[in-house]
Formats: sequence, C-alpha cells, structure tokens
Amino acid sequence: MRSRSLRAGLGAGLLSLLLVAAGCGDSGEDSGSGGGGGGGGKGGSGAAEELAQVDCGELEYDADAPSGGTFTDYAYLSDSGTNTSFDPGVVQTLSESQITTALFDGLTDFDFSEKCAPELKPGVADSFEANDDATEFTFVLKEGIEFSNGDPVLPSSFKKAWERAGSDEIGSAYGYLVEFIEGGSAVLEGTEEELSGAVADDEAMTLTVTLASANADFPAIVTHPFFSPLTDEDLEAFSDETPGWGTAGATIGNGPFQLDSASEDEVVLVPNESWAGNVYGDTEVKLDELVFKTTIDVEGAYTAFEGGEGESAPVPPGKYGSARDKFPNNSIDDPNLGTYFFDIGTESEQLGGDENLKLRQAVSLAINREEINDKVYEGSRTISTGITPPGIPGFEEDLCEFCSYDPDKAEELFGEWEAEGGSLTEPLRLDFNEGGGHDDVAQIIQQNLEANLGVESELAPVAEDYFVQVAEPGGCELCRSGWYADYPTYGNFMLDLFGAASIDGNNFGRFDNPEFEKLIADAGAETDPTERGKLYADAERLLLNEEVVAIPLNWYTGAQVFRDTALNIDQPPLGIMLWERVAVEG
Amino acid sequence: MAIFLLRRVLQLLVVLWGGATILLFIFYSLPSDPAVLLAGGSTGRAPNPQVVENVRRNYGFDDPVPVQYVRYLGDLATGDLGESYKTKESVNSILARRLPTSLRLAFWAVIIEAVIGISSGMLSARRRNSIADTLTTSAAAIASAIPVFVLGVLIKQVTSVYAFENGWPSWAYFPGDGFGDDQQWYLGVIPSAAQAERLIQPAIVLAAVGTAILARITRTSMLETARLDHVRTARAKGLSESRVQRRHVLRNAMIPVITVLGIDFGTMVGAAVLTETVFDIRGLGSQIVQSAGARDLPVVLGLSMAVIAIYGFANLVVDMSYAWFDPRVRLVGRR
Repeated sequence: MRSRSLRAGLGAGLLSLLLVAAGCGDSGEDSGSGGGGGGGGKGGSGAAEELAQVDCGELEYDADAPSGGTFTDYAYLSDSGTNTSFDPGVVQTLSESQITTALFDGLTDFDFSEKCAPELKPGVADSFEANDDATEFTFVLKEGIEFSNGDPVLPSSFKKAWERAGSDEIGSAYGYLVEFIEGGSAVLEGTEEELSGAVADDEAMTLTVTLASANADFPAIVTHPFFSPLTDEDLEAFSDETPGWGTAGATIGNGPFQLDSASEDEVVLVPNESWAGNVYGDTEVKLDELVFKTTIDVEGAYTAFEGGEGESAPVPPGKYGSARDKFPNNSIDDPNLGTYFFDIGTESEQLGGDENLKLRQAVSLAINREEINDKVYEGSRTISTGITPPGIPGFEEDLCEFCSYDPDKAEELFGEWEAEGGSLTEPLRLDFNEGGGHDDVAQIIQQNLEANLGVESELAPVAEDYFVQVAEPGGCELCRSGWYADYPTYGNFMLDLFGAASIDGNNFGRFDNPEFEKLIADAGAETDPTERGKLYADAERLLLNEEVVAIPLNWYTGAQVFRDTALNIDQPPLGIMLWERVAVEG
Repeated sequence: MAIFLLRRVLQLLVVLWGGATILLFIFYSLPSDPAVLLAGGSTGRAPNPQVVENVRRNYGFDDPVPVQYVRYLGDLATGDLGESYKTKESVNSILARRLPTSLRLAFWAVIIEAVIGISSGMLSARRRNSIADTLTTSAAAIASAIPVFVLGVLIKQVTSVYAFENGWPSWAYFPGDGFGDDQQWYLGVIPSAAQAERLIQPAIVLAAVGTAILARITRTSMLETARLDHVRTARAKGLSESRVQRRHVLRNAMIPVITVLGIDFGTMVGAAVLTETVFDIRGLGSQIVQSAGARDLPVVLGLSMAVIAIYGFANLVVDMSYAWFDPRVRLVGRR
C-alpha cells in the first residue's frame, strides 16, 4: 500500500502514506520516541491554549530544588531485551528516547507548562515560518549554539543528519520520516544521497525545507529525535550501517547532558556545559550525574527499587495498585499521549459495510470499559471518550457517541439490526497479540458481547509478527490496536491510524472513506491551528460516530514510581522526562 | 590418552557443527521475520515496507538460506561469531563479557552443590534410617520440588526487599540487582567481601535443585557400593570403618556423582536463565533467551556454540576424572 500510494503521489494519500507508522503501537509497553507537535510561527500550531478542551493541570517544577547529586533511574531501560540504540537516527523505544532527548535538542520543542495545552516553541531555531500552503518551511537558527564537543550547530548539521537517518544504509525503523520532505523517498530507497527538499545555508543560518506535500504540522514533527542535528565527527563514524548501542552510535549532542559512559549495564550522562537551554527558560542542569540502569526485566527493576536501589523504577503489570499505595511519588495516574482501542475490519463481511453500522454501534456500547480498566489495569488508565487523547491540540472531550457502556442501548440497536435482516453466521473474531494483558481484555470483550448481545466471539491470539499479520487483508475483524504519539499532533493519530495510505500499515481496519480523506487532507494544509484542530476533530467524529470503525477503550497513563527524595519528576504527557529539571534531595 | 583426547575434540567439532546447523535452520523455519522486528515491528506497530526492504538488504536476509548458512560456517571457522543484529556489538565481545559471569556463578553453584550435596548424601548413607537420614532426605525432596524461579524470588524478597523495608542490619541485607558495576574477583573466581554479597544468593538458588539431587545420588551410590564384595572383603581384612568408607565406598561411589556434577556445571553455564533473570545477572543464558526473543540470530548461535563447547569440555573432564576415581577405567581412543 505504501508503494502504491507513493506512485499515486498526490495530496492526502501521499501525506498519509508518509506518516505510516509514524507513531508507535503500544503492545502495552513502551514504544516510539519523543517529540511533540503543536505549533509556533506562521503555519505552526501555536496558540495551543485556544484548542485545549481539558485541563490536565500545570507541569510541576520547583526551581529552587537543590542542585548536584546522582539520579539513578531503573525505570526506563528496564527490559534490556528491547534496547537497541539511542542514536537519534534510529532510536525506537520511548525508553531509549529518554537518553536521546537528554543528549539532543531539535529545531523546535514543546512547552508543556500547561500539560494538556502543549505549545510549540523554537528550540535551536530562533524562528520558523511556513509559506501560505504549508509546503515550505524556513527555520532560522540561533547563532552560537554548540555541540558538547565544541562544534557549532549549523543548518547543515540538521540536513546531513536527516539524510543519514533516512538513508537505506542506516535502515532506521523511522527512516520513512524523511519522506515528509521532498526527495526523501529517493533517499530512503537509496537512489539519492542528498535530500533535495532541504537547503542549508550555514552563513545565513537558515534551513529551508520543501515538503513532499502540505503539512502544517511539520514544525511539530521535527521535534521527533529523528530530526536531531549531528556533528561531522559522528556523521563520519556512523553513516555506513545501522548504529548500535552506546558508543556504537551517534552520541555527541547539543542537549542538556552529554554522554559520560555507556555499557551493557548502565548509561551515565553528565551535564553538557555547552547547553543553550530549553523552551522553559532553563539554562542549567540540576544533577551532577544521571545514570540509566539496564535490567533484564521489569520485575527485576521494580524489585531492585523496592530493595532500596535507585531513585525511580517501572511498575510491572499487576502491581499498579500496590505500587500506588507503597510509593506515593509516582506517575501511575499521570496522562500519557497514548490510546488503546480495537479496530473494526471494514472489509469484514460480518462487521463491515453500511448494513452493519448498528451492529458496530451495539458492539461498542456493549463493552464495559470500566471492567477492563479495573480488572486488567487496576484502574490505572483513563477511560477514553475518543481515539485521540487529551493533550493533543484540537482534542475534544466526549467526542465519541458510542464509547460509553450502555447495554440497554446496545441491545436495542442489536435488535434493530436483526430486524433489518442482520445476522451473524459465525462467531466474531477477536484478533490480538499475545501477552501484555491483551488476552484478558479480549476475554472481557468476549464475555460482554455474549452477556449483553448474545453474540458469540472467538479469541484469535497471534504470537509472532502480529502487527504485520493484522495489517494484511482479512487480518482484522475486531482487532487490538494501540498508539503512542510521536509528537502531539492530531494528525499523528488520524493519518497514521485511519488514513487510506496507512492501509497495509497501521490502519488495520483498512478504513478508506473519501469524506474522511478530504477532512484530513484539508487539516494537513490548514495553517490556522484552531481550524486545523476542528477539521481533525470532525474527521474523528466521522470515523467514530458515523462510520463506527474503531472502539476506543482507554488512554494510557504513566507507570513509574519514584523515591521521595526525587524532585521535579512531573513529566509531560508525551512520556519524556525533563531530565534537566530532575533533582535529588540529600 | 592422546588419541582419546583427539577423538573427543573431533566429536565436539561435529557436535558444534550439528548444533549450529540445527539452530540455524530452526531459526529460518520460524514464522517470525527478523527484518520485520528490526524495522520496528517489535515496538508494537506495523513496520514501513521500504524500511523492511532496506533492513533485509543491509543484513543479507535476502540472500538464499544456503548462502547465509555457508557464510556463517565460514565465519565460525575463523572464530568470527558475527555481530548482534540489534546492538551491533560483536558476538565475540558479548561472549567475552558474559562468559566469565556465567562461569563464576556456575563454579560457585557447583562448589555449593558438591560440598552440601555430597556431605549430606554421605551422612544419609552412613546413618541410614536415622533422624539425620530422614532430615536430609526430606530436605532434598523439598529443595528439588521448589521451582528455581519461586525460590529465587522468595529469597530476594526476604533478603533484599523485606530487609531494606525493615531496616535490617547491613550484614543481613543482600542487594538483588546483579553482580554490580565494580566487580572484584581474585584469581578470577574468588569474590571480594562486597562481591560475595551479590554472589551468595544466586549461587545458592542455582545450586538448590542440583544439591538435592546430588545428595540423593550420593546416598544411593554409597549404599549400593557398600554392598559390593570388595567392601565386604576390606572389612574382613580388618580395615577400620572410616577407612573402608573413604577408600572403598566413597571413591567408588563417586563416578555417578562426578558425572552429575559435570553435567550440572555445563548446564549451569548456559541455562541458568531463571536465576540470572531473578537476580539480574548478565550471563549467557539470559542473553540467549533475550536474543532468541529478538530473533538476534548471530548472538543466539554464537553463544550457543560457546555453551555447547563448555558442555563438551565439562564432560571431557568428567570422563578423564573417571580414571582417577577408578583405576580400572582406561581412557582409550577405540576399543
């Protein structure tokens, strides 16, 4: 599908295609990398406060927290089996992105002072602006910013880093992000080395980027670590093949920290004296040393923390309740920009089509989301009222009309569907990947459908390559999905999960609706952030209320506990800690 | 003797080749595609097709299986175990780091197993049907019945978590997060005091089941040997009971015991996955399991080859020790 769309090369289709899998699925664990979306400057999605519909509170920060000391983190690299690299060009997991974002600063970054109203601000860029149709962006870089090795951060530092990260030799899982930019597809395919759509003028300190298609969210997208700058030294050393863990990848950055050492057991960061500061106005790092410990598994990390080791740890599944009681300093109830839902296969004979709309509505209303949250996640998650979570500019509360548990209404709609001639010839198939609690979720759904509608369903767990199998034609009837934002933009959810160009990708239900496509294409080209948010919300209403092709279940929350001596550990919803602010007492 | 050794080394080479071949083809027959995982499929999303194609080409996954097989065997013959698909670290380097950890843990576990298992087995055999026999036999049954994982978690909860939460004195508190960053070993295997704190729990847990089994085997073997004619003859010759036990019973009873110890050592080096996981020890077993889950073929193959070689070496040492324990045994290349 991706290739087909590339050949088509037009409008929203291409735009969506470029976004295929830009976010991360979730698998109940970590995924993706940081970034943020929003806006700032012409064509950005600034004025986020106009869009925010919910109040998640303000980011807590004590500027007077003591400086110095070592913070040892067991939370993020708590499953060394998933660690690959924290090189910005290839970093895949949210855990490893904690290191990457501590080492590298991008052109722009988000100010999460109002947690659910992130505001995009210039980072290394002094300013940025778009042309009228959001196809070209000009970033003017600040003078005097340096990497930790003393090299200047120049426009070419970004351009060359993007070319390297998107190249076929590097084979980055996020390599496709380069396709946002004109000429990016050729770089990814290996037919070109230079990114024709990016023009770097190191004297004028400008980076002009022409996009493959209109996308007003581009300044937000470049907050993703993939778009970090690199030194010539690292470019020379790590451009021939996929980089690896620690010093086998690029590590010389311009962020608040610099790498001190990296081994299989731990990664040690120390303050970068050359750091220029962040979008919050901080210019100094609190800690003397930040240590990321790797452990073999999550349980081991949590037990080590219980045994007095470190300042933070992950909470393993099944221990949210006890961890919340035992360690009041935790992020278990903090919102994260992730969403858990089931896709409905639009090509399914049993569930797809206009004739089965009432059945889909009934199925969604028959699922007890509270029961799932209580039994599987110990009440730690937030019951969702849509796909897109709060904290995304444009988010609207209670957008979904069929996302509450209403067995009476479900039964009524099911009866109407049957009266109109609808009938199920075989059990509905519940597709999900094994582990991560997804089997428990599927079992509750199975029981709900049986109890409330008398509908039989069968569990269809997949052990290997679920996300490939479920993306194939016929792979999804009622299938588990999830997403963790790469950057806080509405498009990161709508385009990647439901755009036609994401069919064969993360659009598991193979939803292909012209009206939806027009809405997301218009949104992508809309430079006014308020209007863009409204267009995306309209698109989500269409898919959830008029078409009912997805069943939102919950939004993710944090899963870390902290020692009482850990300060300033309040984290933005994107899940990336502001490590420069973190402090330890005593 | 030389022919015996040569023959065993050749046998080991065949076993290594067979092991590599079987593992390689099992991997190729798995439904999971490593290119998909490396292209992002392991992080809960559908990977981009062009990225999958790039990965497949970069890693040589698009070569025919026989080509990959021959390439791997060629590298293996030169001692190059390749590099991790995931972290790009050389497998030789991973092996150099992980093997000493596994060897130290296995060494001390076998020491515990030998000392406690053999002595309690001897006690049991010499005091047959006594309270001591009943106690050691019951303890052995219990120890062998408790799953390693459960025992490890329980011990760690008590001596690490409970001890910390209740402010136990430092001598009663044992850290449960691996061998630590600043490891100190003398002569390669003797731990410093601080290191011993991190070693003792996992070594006991790893040794628990083996110790119980060894105690039973020692007891049975000694009782059987004690009934043999040469023991009766020794007693008839007027030798003291302790001399009879030491020279004629224990030494002859040791052959099955040594066999078990040898096999246990080989197994502990490569398959102490549960103990390593519970105590966060970076040994070979946990690395192999993690890499198998990630379809990191070079690491799985390289480390498995090392485990097979160690297993074979341990068995060779056991075979050679038979001659010492029982002079009637002669090591020959072929009968």
